[in-house]
Amino acid sequence: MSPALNPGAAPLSRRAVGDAVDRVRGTFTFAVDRRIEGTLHAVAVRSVAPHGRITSIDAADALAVPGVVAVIDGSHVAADDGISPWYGENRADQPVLAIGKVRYVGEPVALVIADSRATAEAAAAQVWVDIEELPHVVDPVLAGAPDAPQLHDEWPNNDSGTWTLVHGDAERAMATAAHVHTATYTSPAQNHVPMEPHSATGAWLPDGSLEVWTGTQSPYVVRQRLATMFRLDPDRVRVRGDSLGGAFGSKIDLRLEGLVALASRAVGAPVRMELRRDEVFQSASKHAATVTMTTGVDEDGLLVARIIDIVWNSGAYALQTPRSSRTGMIRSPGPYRIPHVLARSVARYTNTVPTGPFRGAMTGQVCWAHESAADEIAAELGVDPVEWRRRNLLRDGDAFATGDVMHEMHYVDLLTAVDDALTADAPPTSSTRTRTRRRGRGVAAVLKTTRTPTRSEAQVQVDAEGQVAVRTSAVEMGQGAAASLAEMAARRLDMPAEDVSVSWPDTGWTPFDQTTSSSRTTFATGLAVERAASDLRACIAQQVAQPWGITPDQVVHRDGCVSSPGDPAQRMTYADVVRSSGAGELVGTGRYETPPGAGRLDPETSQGNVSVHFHQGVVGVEVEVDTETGRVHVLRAHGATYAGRLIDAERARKQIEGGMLFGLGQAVMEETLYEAGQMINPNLSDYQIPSLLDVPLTSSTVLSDADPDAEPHGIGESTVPPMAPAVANAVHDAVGVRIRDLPVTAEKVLRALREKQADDRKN
Amino acid sequence: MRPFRYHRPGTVAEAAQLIADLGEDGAILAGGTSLMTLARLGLAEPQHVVGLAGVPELCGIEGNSGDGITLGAMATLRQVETIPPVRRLAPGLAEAAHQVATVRIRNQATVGGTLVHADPSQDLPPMLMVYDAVARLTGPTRTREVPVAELFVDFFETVVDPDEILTSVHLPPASLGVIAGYLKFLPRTQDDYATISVAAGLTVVDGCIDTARIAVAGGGSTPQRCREAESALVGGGTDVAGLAAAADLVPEALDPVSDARGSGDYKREMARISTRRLLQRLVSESAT
Ligand SMILES: Cc1cc2nc3c(=O)[nH]c(=O)nc-3n(C[C@H](O)[C@H](O)[C@H](O)COP(=O)(O)OP(=O)(O)OC[C@H]3O[C@@H](n4cnc5c(N)ncnc54)[C@H](O)[C@@H]3O)c2cc1C
Repeated sequence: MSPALNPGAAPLSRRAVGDAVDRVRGTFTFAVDRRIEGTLHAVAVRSVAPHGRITSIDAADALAVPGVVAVIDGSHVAADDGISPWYGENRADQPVLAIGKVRYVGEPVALVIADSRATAEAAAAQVWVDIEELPHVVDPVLAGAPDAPQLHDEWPNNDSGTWTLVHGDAERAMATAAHVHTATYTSPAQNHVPMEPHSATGAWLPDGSLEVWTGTQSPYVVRQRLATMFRLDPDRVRVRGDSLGGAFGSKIDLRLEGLVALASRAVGAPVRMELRRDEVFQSASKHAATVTMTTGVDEDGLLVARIIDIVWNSGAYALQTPRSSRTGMIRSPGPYRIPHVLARSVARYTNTVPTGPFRGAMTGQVCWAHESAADEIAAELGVDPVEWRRRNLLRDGDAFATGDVMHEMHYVDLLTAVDDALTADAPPTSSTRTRTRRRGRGVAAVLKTTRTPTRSEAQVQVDAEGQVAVRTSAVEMGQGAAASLAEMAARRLDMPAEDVSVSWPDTGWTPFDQTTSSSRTTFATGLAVERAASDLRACIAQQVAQPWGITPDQVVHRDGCVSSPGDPAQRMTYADVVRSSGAGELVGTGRYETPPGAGRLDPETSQGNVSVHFHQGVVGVEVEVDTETGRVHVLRAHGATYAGRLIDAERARKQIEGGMLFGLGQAVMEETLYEAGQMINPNLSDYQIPSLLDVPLTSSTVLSDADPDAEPHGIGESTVPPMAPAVANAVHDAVGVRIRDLPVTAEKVLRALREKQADDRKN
Repeated sequence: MRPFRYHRPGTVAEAAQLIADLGEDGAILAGGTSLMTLARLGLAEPQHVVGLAGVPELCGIEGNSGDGITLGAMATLRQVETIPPVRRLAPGLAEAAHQVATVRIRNQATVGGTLVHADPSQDLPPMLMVYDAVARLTGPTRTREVPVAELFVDFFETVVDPDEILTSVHLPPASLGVIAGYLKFLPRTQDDYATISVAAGLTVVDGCIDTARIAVAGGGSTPQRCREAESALVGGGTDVAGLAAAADLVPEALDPVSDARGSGDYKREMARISTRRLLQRLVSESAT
């Protein structure tokens, strides 16, 4: 047993507004910078086979390396009565270390624990793992074939989630459509590429409880998983978080926490792990997907029916796929008024890196389909694609494919804003346009649901020094969540946001929050913080009202002080109020929870109230295509979203514009490639993300609701999914070729151009 | 990364002696941008590292039109990009250096490291071939000169012996009169390695091409001179058709690998397009 990592300490906190200075100077502390004295280091030995049975693991040579303390593998885990090694959100199909079988290249097979990372790394290369290879499958469509290799005995047909959505009678309505369009769109596995790699430190305390420091987006989910895995009461697990250097979904649910807890349990000391870049690539992936979409429209181009078939690649383990594949399916009809919709979704296990949420989760894949299809349909009808969307986009009172009657719909305004921005600028000068360079414009729209049901709790407190602290388990990962939460509390307390500190998550101290994902923090955690701050405000007013002989609601709050309206002598700072109260601090609590029943859907038809509100985004881009090379240059991008009640315009713009840059890489260059069951580009030279030099001119529109009681809406993802189809639509506008297979690489565009030229010559 | 002992000689002679003594256990370190990356990936595991940063003889760039240009092995790519004699006398080389990665890498990476690392997609080697550059090598018993065009053997392999130090690279004065340029084709990010890149140099006399050099990076296991295309140009005019015909000969000289940057066929085709575009650009520059 080891000493507490930081016994009894209150959660760490810091001023949230203005932390950019530290980020720029390099003095900001990220999770990966966290060092705890006396820790040992673990490195995973990973499978080099995509699928196989482990026949032996020989750690003798590794154990002989000076500095190595222990080597543990799945057999130790399976033999330990104190451990339930299998985990997952919906089905416990993933072992913390491979037990008996490996299912993808990179799967952790053993852990080497040593006094330094370098020693552990060197020794890991000397753990000899014998694997009897089994046939493998990486393509989710092939994984559904009757004779396909089976990954999990308990889950036949490699099925990791099957769902349907039935709204009206799509098959019958399709037969009546004046015009039917059908096409298949594919998108590949991609990596989140957070700049900061994953890291975690775990320790067992003398009282048998478990403490983990980790770079996670979901401290309470991690706590629950660890409690289940180590058969502890959740209160006996303390998960402490830091700020993250990017996550994008890759740091949700259990990542390294199970491994460091396991290692620490084996050696009786704190153990730290940090991933190399290739291991980051091997730890989480976006779901590859194939979407076939058949759409019927009437004579006026109005949507009549849509039938959608989706196959997701969940990778070797399901994690959240059984739930999230349904979420993706529900968003697949797009933000349109369609009376009849039938969607069928199946997710399949394959011998590839396990998948997880990915900024714009499960939406990029389906948005790629419905927004490419939108332009194709408009072209076939001879209608301008912006006009076609305007006719069909959801408006207030329309029914969505789940039967939800829509409210706060702003699609038409968002589309108009984007269209105006693209056309308002002076047309490009002709000097940059040559015979081989063609320009084009494209737009795309997206609808995303937010996590429903959901729950967040918050505390806001003021101490005798007048220090105001927000305590939540929300995670700051570069999105500015901490600053927004500080601002929301400060406004309720009528004080400067600069004077409010915000906690890091610490399940030992900070209240429950579901996760920092799904663009839910400003909305759900933010509302909880506002309620906590209002509660504190009322508590402060209560303290002074009676002595001053007024009612609490007559108390005036201003600049961190309270006063009595009639009597200027009656004025106290918040600190004075705390001191005179006799308590060490005054605490307000708040909680946000979606209404009962929200998010409950029919199991067969997926009809019901799917989301408390809908994330709405529209993106427009202008591209230049080199007709001799196929090179697509995105010149500018305009994003628009609806923010509900706006908390901070600048941060909102950064999310919108940053989202487009994140989407740009997925649109034109990002793809993890497999050969013989092995990822062949798990590094940032072969797998590239846009660099600063690739950034187009970006601009944005944020629509909002001025009503102070309106709810804030999430905006962190709304411009990610539409980026790829907007680019493909712009490429089509420029040179007349349609790419249906992401990413839109130069080589694909050139091939399509050559085919088109050959066809044009024939005709 | 496995720990190693670091040695810091002050002269070429000392360095050469150390390298000879250490044999297989030693590795030369210049800017470290490649060697340290390989070491971190476990692809190089030297026990001794001989750093050349403290050898003044290897630093610096000198040049004039009479003597040509000499690049010290430890000259950084940023110096090659920015130093006036290179910009004035061999602007094509400054242009190629400017295309390497990012300023951060260019401040660290060196001329010697670039050549001995011998990644076939690097930017400087084809341009040095266009300028007929010659590398000077010092070994335990001899010094020798090898044209850059004959330096490369295979992926990451050169004729430089393990106990030889590349001390400098010389661009002969006769080569400095060419109109040279570099075209790096980057379909993904702007700081990527080339999918394919072309370096070319021409002299044009009375509307007629007098000398021609074309070299391609990313087209195979080493950077390559494209001698057939060069021959097709010499003696001909500067009309687009002639340039295009020469460019059409480039793909045959290449055998690029298919990878994340594109298929072999695509790279060949891009070499053709890039060569034609670059030649057209050089011809139009020669006319002004
Ligand atoms: C992020 C990144 C991006 C890059 N992008 C590009 C790019 O776009 N274009 C491009 O051309 N290159 C690119 N490179 C490669 C870069 O050009 C090389 O890494 C660099 O030139 C090597 O020089 P160095 O001085 O750092 O060599 P080192 O890493 O120090 O050495 C490289 C090799 O050369 C040997 N060596 C070094 N000097 C001598 C000498 N004088 N005599 C004998 N042997 C010697 C070393 O032993 C070692 O084997 C990139 C590299 C990185 C890390």
